[in-house]
Amino acid sequence: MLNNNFKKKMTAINTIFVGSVAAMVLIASQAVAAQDGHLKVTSKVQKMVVVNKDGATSYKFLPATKVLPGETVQYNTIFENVSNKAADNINIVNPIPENLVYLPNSATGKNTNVVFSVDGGRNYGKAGTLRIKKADGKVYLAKPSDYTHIQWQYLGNLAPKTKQAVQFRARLL
Amino acid sequence: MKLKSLHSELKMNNSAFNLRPIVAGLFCLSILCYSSITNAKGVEAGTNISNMATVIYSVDAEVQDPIESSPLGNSINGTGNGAPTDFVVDRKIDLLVTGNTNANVAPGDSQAQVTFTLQNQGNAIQEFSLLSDYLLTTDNYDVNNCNIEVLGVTGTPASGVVLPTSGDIKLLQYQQASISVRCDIPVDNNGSPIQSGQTSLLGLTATVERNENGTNTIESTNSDSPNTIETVFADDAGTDDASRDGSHSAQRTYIASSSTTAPVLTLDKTILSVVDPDGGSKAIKGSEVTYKIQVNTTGIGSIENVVITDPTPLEMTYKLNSIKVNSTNHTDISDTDNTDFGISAVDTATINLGNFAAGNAHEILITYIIN
Repeated sequence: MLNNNFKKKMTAINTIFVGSVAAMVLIASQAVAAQDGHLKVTSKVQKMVVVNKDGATSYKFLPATKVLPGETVQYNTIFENVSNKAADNINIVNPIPENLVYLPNSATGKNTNVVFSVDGGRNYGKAGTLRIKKADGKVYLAKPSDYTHIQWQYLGNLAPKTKQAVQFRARLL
Repeated sequence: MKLKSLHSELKMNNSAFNLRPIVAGLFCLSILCYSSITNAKGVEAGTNISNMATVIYSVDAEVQDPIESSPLGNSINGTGNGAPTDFVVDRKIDLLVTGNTNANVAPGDSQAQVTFTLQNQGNAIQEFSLLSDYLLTTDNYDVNNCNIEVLGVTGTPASGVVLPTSGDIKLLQYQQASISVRCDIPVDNNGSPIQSGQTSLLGLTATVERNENGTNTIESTNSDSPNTIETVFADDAGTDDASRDGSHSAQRTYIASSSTTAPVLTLDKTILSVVDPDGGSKAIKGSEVTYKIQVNTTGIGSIENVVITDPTPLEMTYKLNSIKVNSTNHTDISDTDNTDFGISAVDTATINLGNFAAGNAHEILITYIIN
């Protein structure tokens, strides 16, 4: 299969040519007819409301039908193995939508390692380690509001007919 | 930035193969998201917020084509087979009226100015009406004849806005209007002098009227939908309005910096004429002596319940029906001319002038005969 051969070759490509390889991946992906995957991926959004009652604070999640600037939404990505084979090396990549700002420590997922990007998904690192060059030319430690992408690296295999979920919260600017 | 160290993070959990080319590919697909958006004004109503996750995975050690997410779940590999999870930003109605300058005024001043600002803190272009209230009850006196004018706005006026204007004002997101309210200061406070330091409150209330498309701004009561723009009132309470009512208000103060002159009444009694029985002017028995009582007033305000009494002098007798008030003959009996002799007080002329504004004068003539 052209697609399989391409994938095998791809693992050996020198990363110096990342950009051109990426373009090839894109072309190859488009050239191959859509096929049923092993995973089913669902993205849902809800509005998070803080509830203060009897001195206790809790959170309520509502459909994102009425969302105003300054309010918080939570995205849940559910990935389910719908095949009969285990899936591994699972990475969930979620660009933080335009006009939203990521809320610190909100990206979670069972059995995952969470990393972030501040350069549009080109490079990833753990929270608190990323740096960003600002307009004054100086390099600063990136803040959560600088994040552009989140990546959850799922640790281990996802067995057939099982599913997991990851989530993050963001505030509407 | 040290790309090398960042790459090492990524490699940490991808020992079976190198994911970097694929991740970089995702970067290409999502390049539109590579900008840290800052929008202190709030995202504009109607903006679609779109999200799509992509999952990269392997089966039997072979990398599979990425799978994009969809709201209902997508299991078809490859770019373009997912669907975004969307919602639309709703219309937030929020406004802030702030009192700016007070005014130091003197009674009788014309069109004295206090100023306010109005800011559209919602997330859409919004038209507002402006209403002043000079009849607030917690002050000392009331100004009147108030006129509102929007003098200017920050930045470029919204389409169709011509300044200055005394009509409704349309403001862009977070645009601020400077507003003048000019009122007349009364000369007195319902007849009482306005004292230095006394205040008159002037309230200004702004209320949302129309949306950008010209439709009336009404809070949505229909069932919510992620794909339609609902209108939500999110304003705080002002000095004269409630929270979440589509209005906001503030007050400014007219401070009297000089008081009006208090009314002063003076009386002068003089002999106007003496006519003796022989037609001369000697003060002898039988001579008629006409006294003139001059009532003068100064200052501002109302003089109330003024009653002049003039007892008959010793050795004299009152000449019947001789009282004249402001050149008009008054009778001695108790009737509508509010003048009498000997009825309200024994042997005394009583002239009730009642209430009149300070500044007026009255002349009273009374004639007595020397015994």
